[in-house]
Amino acid sequence: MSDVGADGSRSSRIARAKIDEALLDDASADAPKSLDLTPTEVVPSAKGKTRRTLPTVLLLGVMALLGFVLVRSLGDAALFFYNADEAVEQRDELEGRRFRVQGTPFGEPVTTEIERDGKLDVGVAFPIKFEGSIIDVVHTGNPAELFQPGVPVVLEGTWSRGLPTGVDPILGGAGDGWHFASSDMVVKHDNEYRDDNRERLDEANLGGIAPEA
Amino acid sequence: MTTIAMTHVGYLIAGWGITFTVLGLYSISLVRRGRALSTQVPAGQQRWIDTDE
Amino acid sequence: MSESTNVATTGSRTTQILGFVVLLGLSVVFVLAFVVTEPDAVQQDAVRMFYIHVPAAIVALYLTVPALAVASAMALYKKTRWWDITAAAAAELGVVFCGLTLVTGVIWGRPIWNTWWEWGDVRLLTTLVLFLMLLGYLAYRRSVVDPGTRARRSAVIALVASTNVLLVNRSVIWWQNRTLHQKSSLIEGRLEDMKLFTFALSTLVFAVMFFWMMIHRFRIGWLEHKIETVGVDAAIAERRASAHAGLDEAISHPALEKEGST
Repeated sequence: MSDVGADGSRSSRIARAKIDEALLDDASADAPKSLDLTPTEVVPSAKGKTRRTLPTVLLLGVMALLGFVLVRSLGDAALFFYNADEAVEQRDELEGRRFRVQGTPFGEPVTTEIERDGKLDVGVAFPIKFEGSIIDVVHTGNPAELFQPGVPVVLEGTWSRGLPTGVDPILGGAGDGWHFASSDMVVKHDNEYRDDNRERLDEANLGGIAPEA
Repeated sequence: MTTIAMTHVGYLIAGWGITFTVLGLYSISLVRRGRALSTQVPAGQQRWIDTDE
Repeated sequence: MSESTNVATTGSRTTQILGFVVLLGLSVVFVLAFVVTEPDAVQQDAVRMFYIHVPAAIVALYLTVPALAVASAMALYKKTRWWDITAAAAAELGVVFCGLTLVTGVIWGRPIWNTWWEWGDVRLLTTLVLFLMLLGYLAYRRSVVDPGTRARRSAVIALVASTNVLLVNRSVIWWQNRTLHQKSSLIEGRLEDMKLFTFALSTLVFAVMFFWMMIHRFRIGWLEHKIETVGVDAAIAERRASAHAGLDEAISHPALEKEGST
């Protein structure tokens, strides 16, 4: 700033030093700690190097994380799930592989005991469809909270022949001698939001008029 | 008026709670940072809309 | 110290009004979201997450990132610190709102999708990448000391990162059968009246909040800039002029002159 040096012409060097000292004393009394008011020449970017280390490490960390996400995801994302029709079409290639399949459950899901490899589990059997293709699904474990006919699901599992012991033929299913042995279920919720009819539910809970199916 | 029990209360508390907490704390930090820095800069230098550089 | 000369806040009449509108608006949104609107037929009460998740996403994608992109382009074109500081402010808000979008999405996903996170979902992936890019942008800014270099290079990074918004937006259309995330409920008009109103109001309030934060964050950047560069000189000059006016007299004092010459 020009006025910093302006009074320099009027005073001797020692006098100026005294003023500076006085300014410093005063400044240290009430100025915020972080601001150095020493009236020296400001040399921009003189303090640079040490300041850079931590941010650079941070930057590298973020880039590494970004790389991890891309590597972790892109493989999956390229083929996150097969639709039911694709899974049926490519059954030969998919046999023995673990993959995801998408479809919409229909009919009444049946809770059942499943015996697989001599182990007894509880699960649910139901058919799913997509673009006219139907797959019989036997899901081991509890279904997702929002699982219900009409809401699409993405299931992870394998193609298996026949049906596991203890599971009855699936009503309205494909019945083609295959089933999809699923162990993970994700609900693919659609983008429609409809008001719930709270009154009707309350009535049902109170044992009043039951909602019609 | 009848009291209606909500479903997914834990998720709602977590979601809304985190959102409001983050936005609240960030807003407070903005005001505080602003106050701390303002004391270090003379009023004449605090012109926000300044494109003189 | 000199409260008469220093304005010890980044607030102003405008930010006070905006802040009041935000607080009032959020209260109304809260009541609408939890008392007035009905639960969803399928999602039940979990649908109430919609009223914060989607507005946060809209602010992140369509306010913070475009602001970052425009400010960065202008910083390259005009080469002023004003635009550079605006870009930095937008990026920081981008991290906040993008982070909230991810967190609320994860929390909503658990009861609705039956999963916290799906690595294969393109919508989730592109949003996470955007978040990390914004974080990287801020980290990069901190790693470069020279303001000119920092402004130039970070503007380029920001412009590259901003294109990701297009991917996030289009992901549910382009990769329809490769994503778990539903399509836009708004564009397809799948929201009932009260839900739509609550959502619209919430989005508006979030947008006002964005402007409130943006103004404060910009002013912080501006103050930092002043302190880093011209602020130091100005503070000294100010002190010389105001706090020690009496010293001018001392400078020309014969005794001092004499002492100085020896």
